[in-house]
Amino acid sequence: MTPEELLQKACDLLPGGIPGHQNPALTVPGTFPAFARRAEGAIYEDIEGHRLIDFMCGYGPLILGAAHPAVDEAFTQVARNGNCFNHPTEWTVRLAEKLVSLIDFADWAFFGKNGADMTYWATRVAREHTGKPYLIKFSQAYHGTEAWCSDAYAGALPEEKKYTLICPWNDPLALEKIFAEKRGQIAAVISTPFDHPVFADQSLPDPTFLKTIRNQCDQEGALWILDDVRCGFRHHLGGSHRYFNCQPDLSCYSKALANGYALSAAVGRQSLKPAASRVFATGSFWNNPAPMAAALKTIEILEQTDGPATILQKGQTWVEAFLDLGKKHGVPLVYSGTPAMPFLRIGEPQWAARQQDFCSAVLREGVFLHPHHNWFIGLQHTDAILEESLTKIDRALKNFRNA
Amino acid sequence: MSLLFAPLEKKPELLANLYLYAVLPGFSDLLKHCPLARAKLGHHSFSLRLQSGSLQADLYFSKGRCRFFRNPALRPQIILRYLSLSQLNHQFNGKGFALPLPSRGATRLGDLQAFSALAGLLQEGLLSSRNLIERGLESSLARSIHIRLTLGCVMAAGAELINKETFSKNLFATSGDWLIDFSIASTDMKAWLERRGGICHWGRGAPPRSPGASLEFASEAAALEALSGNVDTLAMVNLRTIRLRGHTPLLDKLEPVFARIDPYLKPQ
Ligand SMILES: Cc1ncc(COP(=O)(O)O)c(C=O)c1O
Repeated sequence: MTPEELLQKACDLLPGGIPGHQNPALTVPGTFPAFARRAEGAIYEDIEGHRLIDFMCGYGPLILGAAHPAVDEAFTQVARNGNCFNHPTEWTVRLAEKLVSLIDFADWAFFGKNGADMTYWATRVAREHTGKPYLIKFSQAYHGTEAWCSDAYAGALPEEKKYTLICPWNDPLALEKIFAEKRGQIAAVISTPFDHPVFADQSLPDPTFLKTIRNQCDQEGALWILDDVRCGFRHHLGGSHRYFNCQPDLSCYSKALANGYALSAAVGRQSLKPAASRVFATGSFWNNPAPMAAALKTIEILEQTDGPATILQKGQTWVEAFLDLGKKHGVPLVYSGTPAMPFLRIGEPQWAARQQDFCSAVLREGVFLHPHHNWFIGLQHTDAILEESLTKIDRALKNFRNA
Repeated sequence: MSLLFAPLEKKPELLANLYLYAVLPGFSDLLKHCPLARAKLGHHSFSLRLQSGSLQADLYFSKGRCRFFRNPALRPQIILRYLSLSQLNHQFNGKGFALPLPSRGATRLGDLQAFSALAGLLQEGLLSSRNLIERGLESSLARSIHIRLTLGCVMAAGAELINKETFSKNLFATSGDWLIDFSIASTDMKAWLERRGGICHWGRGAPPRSPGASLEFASEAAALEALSGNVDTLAMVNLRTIRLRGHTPLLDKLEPVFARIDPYLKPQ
C-alpha cells in the first residue's frame, strides 16, 4: 500500500482520518508525514522512509529517546511474566515510593494511563477535599480533551463547563477578581508550570503571579493543582515547581514518566489523602506493571545523568545556535518557552503561514519541528545530533529566505 | 456541530438580520451568474426596500444586475414594509410567501412580479442546484451558481452571527482582529471574512489585507460537500480536498458558527 493509499484508507475507516493531535491537519497536510514507520533515539522514520531528527518526541514522552534499550528491557522483563492481573503488583508500590521520595510535597501517589485521567481526577479530589464547586483554569491551557477543560463544543453540554472559570495567564489581578467574585466557592486553581499554548508564544510565569496563585488558594481554602503532564521531568526531577520555585498541593505527571509507555500519575499532600481515597477512579490497565517498571528505569537513568539539568543545558546551547542562524540569514526569529521545551517562530505579524513554510523547509532537510506546538529536547539529542540538526536548519533557513 | 451545547436563539430580530443581510445579497450573485434570473428581470429597472422596524435593506435592480445596500441612502421606488419581524421572517422561511402590501410603489405590479419570481429563484438556488436544473439550466452552471450563493450566504450569515448571536459572539470575544480568506481552486470564487475593531465584515473576491488564515477547496465538488455540512472535515483536510494555511484555530472556531447557519435559515 502506498502512503497515499494508506491515508485514504485511514480517512475512510477512522473519523477524521488520523485521530487527535496526531492528525496531519494540525501540521501542514501534504508536507508533514501522516504515518510513522520506526524510530530510534532521536531519529524517526516516516512511512516513506524519510529520516527525520525528531524534536517532538512523540509530543513529549520520549525523554531518553525512542526504543531506549534499557527502558525497553525493563518493560519486557516484567511483561514476560504477565502485564495484566487481577491485582496490582509490587511495581505500583515501588513506583509510588519513588515518586514520593522525589517530589518534596508528595506523601502519596496515584496512577492512571493518560494525563487527562489525572487532571480530571485531581479536580475531583480538590472538590471532595474542599467541598467547593468551581475550578479556575488559565485561558489557553490544555489539560486534556474532556469538556470541563477543553475549548471544543461538539457533543458537550454547557453544564459540563459551567464550573470552570477562565482566567488570563500571568494576570494576578484577574485571578484575585475571580476569587473575590466566587468567594468561598473555588475548589482549585489548575495551572501548567508555564503557559505552553499552540499557535502562540509560550509564556513563563511571573514570580508574583505564582505567589498570587498560592496566596489566593491559601486565603480562600482552595487547592493548587499543577498540571506537570507536559513539563514534568524535563525541568527538575522533583517536579517543575522546583524549577519555577512554587508550591502546589497536587501535581499530575504523564508524558515523560515512562519514556513512551502509557502511564500517568498524580501526587499530593497527606492532608488530601482521605479525599483522594474517596474519589473512585480506576481502569482495566491502570495497574499494569510493565509501564511502571519502565518508569522506574526512566527515572533511574534521569537521576544518573542529571537528566533535567543536562536537557536544559543542551536546549540552551541549541536555541542560542538556532537564533544565531536566524541572524546569519536575516530571518527574524522569536524564541519562547524554556530550553527544555523551546518554540522558535518567524518574527513577523501573521506568522502562522510563514512558520508553516519554514517548518516545511526544515522538514525537507530532515528535521521535524512542529509549526505551532512547543518542541521537546531529550537526552537522545546528543551533541552530534544537535549539530547535525543545526546544519540542516542552516540550509533550510537559506532556502526559506531565498524562496 | 449539533445544537446541544448552544440551541438556536429564538429572537426574530436575529433571524431577520440573517434574511436581510445574508440572504438578500445573493441577488447580486444570482443576476450576475444566472441567465434564468436575468431573463426574469428582463427590462425591469427598480429599487426596492424591505423594511421592518429599524431593520432595512435596499436592492437596486437594473440592466440585468442587482446591487445590494445595507445602509440605504436614497428613497427607493418600492417599499415593502413588514408589520413585524415575524412577518418578514415568514416571507423567507417558507411559512408564507405573500409580499406585504407595498407602502410605496404599489402600482409597480410588473416590478413586484419580477421581484417575486427572482426571490423564488434565489431561494431555490440556495437550497440546491436541482431546482435550477429542472428549470433548464445546464448542470455544471447550476451547481456553480448554487455554490456561489451558498458561499456568499455562509460568509454573510457567519458575520451576522458573530456580530449578533450570543454563542458566536462569545466564541470570538477574545480573539482580536483577524481575516480569513476562502476560495475554490480553479474558479474565480473567493470570499473573505474579517473581524476588525470588534465588528465582523465579509466580502467577495480577494481579501483586502493579508489573511491570518486561508481555506481553499480543491474543487467545486469539495466545496459543495463541505458547505452542505455534516461531513468529516478533518478527513477532507488530510486528503487535501480542503487546504488550510495560517492560523487554523480561527477556522476551527468558525466551524460551529457555520454549522448554525443552515438550522437558522432552512425553511421549516
Ligand atoms: C499539559 C497537559 N495536560 C494534560 C494533557 C493530557 O494528556 P493525555 O493526552 O495523556 O490525556 C496534555 C497532553 O498533551 C498536556 O500537555
